[in-house]
Amino acid sequence: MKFYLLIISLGLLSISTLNAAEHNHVKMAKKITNNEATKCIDEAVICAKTVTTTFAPNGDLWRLWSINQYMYYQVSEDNGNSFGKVQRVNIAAENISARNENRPKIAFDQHKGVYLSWAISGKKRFTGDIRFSYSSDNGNVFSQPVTINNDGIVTGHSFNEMIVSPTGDVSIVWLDSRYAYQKRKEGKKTNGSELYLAKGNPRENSLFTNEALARGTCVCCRIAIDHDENANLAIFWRHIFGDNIREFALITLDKSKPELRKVNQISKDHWYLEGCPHQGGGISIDAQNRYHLTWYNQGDKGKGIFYAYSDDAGKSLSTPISVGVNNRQAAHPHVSQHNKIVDIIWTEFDGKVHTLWHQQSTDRGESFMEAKVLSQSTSGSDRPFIVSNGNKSIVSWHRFRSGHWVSEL
Amino acid sequence: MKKLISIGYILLSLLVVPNALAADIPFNASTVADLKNLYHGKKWLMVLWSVECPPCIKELALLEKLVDQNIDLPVVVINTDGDLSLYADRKDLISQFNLDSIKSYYFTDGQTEASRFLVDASWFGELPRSYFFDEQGQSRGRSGLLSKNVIKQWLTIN
Repeated sequence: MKFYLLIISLGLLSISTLNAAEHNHVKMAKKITNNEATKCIDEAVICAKTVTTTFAPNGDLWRLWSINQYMYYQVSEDNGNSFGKVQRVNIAAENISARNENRPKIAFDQHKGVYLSWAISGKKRFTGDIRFSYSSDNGNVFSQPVTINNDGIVTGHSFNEMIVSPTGDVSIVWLDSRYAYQKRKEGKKTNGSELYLAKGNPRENSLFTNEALARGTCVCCRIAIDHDENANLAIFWRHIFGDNIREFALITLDKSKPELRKVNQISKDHWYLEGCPHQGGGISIDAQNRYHLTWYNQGDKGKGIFYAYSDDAGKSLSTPISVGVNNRQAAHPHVSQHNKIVDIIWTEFDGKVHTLWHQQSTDRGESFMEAKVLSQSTSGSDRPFIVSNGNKSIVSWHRFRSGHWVSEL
Repeated sequence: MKKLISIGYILLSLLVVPNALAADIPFNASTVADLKNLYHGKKWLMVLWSVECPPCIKELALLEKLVDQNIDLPVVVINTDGDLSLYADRKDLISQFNLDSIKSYYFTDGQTEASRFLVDASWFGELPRSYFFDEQGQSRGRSGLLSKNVIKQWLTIN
């Protein structure tokens, strides 16, 4: 009898140890301090899963994150070396998507306007909306949020990206499932989502339009956008070609060149996957309209991270070069250019340590210097991003429970 | 007494582990090795999934049908979200698809990449992901939604 009791109590001990271990894991996280000596208290950036960083026109660096259905921001006047007080965006709690490829976006105009766009998840699985709010007074007060997708259908709308012109012309792109929803109602099957664009200007009180740009996109990768030299929007995303071949595609919304509005396949790595890669690409267009592109694939013709450029908006492409080491889990590349310099960053992982890598070209992508390690993390690793204000570039890399790492390139 | 405790631990591992494996439990460094021991001599399937991956949900629905027809289906599911805020969603989905009877694991909060690496250092996290284990515990990984026939063929079931 005693022996059985011993077994039962040992069993209970092992189960409770497991539960306690996990519980302590959470409690421990609240005690960890990062290199900014910030405790992981609820709203602190260290507790966030993702961070979005952007330069304001006056040179201030803003970082934005979401925790427990609210958004918070901080402003740095010294390129991210130090940040001011944590400010909560004065918007009621919403189920804000801020994990992995999804995160809120922030942009600015030249008139102290601050623009926020984010995706929310609905009660029903894989449903949600694209939301937007605007502040005309440098972030003191934000407008009542509006839903950008105009279909009124309870279906998927997610993976938003936003660009704002100096005068407040807002372009928001996202992945939209309204077509798939309608077809499903008709008993028909579809594959993928649609790429949608909304345009509006809150400074002029104009309503947001909605326009479908492409059909058959991958449903779970972030979109990448930039303006070309003539302020035309260029969009780079993962598309589904044929039978679940996941490749990157590009369009440029140039009215004078309608051929650029057609889905233009960029990568030719032949990745067959009836599933979710969870890895979007990067685009950055220079002053001579050269498109610098980076992406990740695991196809039978190309595996890993690639970089290529195009001088004709993707009609032709330089020979893609391999970036990082595929068998070290090189992933999540991002690219940015300024003054003929092209920077590519990505992460690698050896099972314990996440390493942030950087490779630079000083001749517009013709050649690259040797890759260098920028930073490491033994806790989590958010997607890394390069943020440029035209004169300098900084890297923004958030590490869950470890802190937000910012450094000038 | 020490001897008794050691015997107790051995018996405990025999008695508790199989039961514990049937529950919703955290993935750890020995999970895959434990499962290989448990299924040694049998073909089995390990399916990794996320609540935020639409094809993964299709795969859970497919497994529901197979479990319904085969009570002892040698399939293990592992949720990869590694996010406390999604724990309830995970449990809801397992129940919704009547998969409470199969072995179900989850990556713990903030441990997605490290756990993924323990499963397979050459897997980048695309989902759904499946591993086909043979009788000797050797496995072959495959990314993407599986068809019912592929699963049936591997597990030799009707």
